[in-house]
Amino acid sequence: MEPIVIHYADDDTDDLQIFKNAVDKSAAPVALHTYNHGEEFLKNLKNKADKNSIVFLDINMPGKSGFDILKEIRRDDLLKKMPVIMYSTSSDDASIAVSREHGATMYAVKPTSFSDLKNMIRKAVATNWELFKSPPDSFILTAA
Amino acid sequence: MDTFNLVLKERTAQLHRAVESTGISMSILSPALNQDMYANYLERILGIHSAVETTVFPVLQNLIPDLDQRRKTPAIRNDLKHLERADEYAGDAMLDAGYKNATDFNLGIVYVSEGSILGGQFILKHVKQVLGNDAPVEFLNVYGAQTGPLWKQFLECLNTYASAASDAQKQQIIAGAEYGFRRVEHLFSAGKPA
Repeated sequence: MEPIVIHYADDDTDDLQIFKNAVDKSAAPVALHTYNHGEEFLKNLKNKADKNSIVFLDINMPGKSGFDILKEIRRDDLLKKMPVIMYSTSSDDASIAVSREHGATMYAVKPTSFSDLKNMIRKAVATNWELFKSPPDSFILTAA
Repeated sequence: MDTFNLVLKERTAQLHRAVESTGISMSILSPALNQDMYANYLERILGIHSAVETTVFPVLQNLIPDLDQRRKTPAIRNDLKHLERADEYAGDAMLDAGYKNATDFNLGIVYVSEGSILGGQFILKHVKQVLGNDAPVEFLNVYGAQTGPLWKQFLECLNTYASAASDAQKQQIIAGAEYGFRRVEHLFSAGKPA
């Protein structure tokens, strides 16, 4: 099975390491690229975009926020079809609504257990993103 | 065909979930976590790893080349010392009468003990958030940046061994992992030692 490429941007290096550990432990077929600056992330994404890639994007980052990056991705002809999962500690309705408004594919709240994180990654990897259309009632990516 | 670690993962998934549902597993990720709860968790962790290092590692010394790098009890003892707790676990032993002194079985036990380290940094973040940055967390970050590489090295060792093993030997590796998860579940469910 060809690995899914996950591009994950977060200014919290602990969260990047935890995500990396969860990918390793989940045994999911994933090639993970992590970034802790929005600018670095966009530059690299443009060089590495392919149809087998998905993006996890933290919202609260210094410099370019996750929302800023999401808007740039959706404006870019090369990147605009990439599945983008907004990934945040916040579960507030406003963040979810803004994510949807700017064209996020899904929204995921950072899990409160390592198991849930592994399950969420497995679920993201098992999804056929080419055929995926987020229906209004399932915009939230959960571990279940 | 799946590599052996995927088979092992699948076969022990339910037991793994049972460990995560124990009181100790839930308490360490609780927003109400306090120093006493954290020390109780570390005491049981010490009970697990001291038995693994003392009894299980010697059985596998010719199979896993980097066992010395995988010793965790000094870090756990340092954390317990900072928390002013005894540096030996006085509760039930990790290994009981069901333990077998055979390579395959012990390899399964180490699959459990090494696999548990990957979630440590998740717990570490929570412990720091709740107990503060001064909380002793040497064990939770025991492999640091080597966490992923050491796990992959272990899986390589496991899969290489399993690729040349008979079906009966593979069943013993699975039995060892099942035993490991059951014993951790027992230690994580037992009451606080007197």
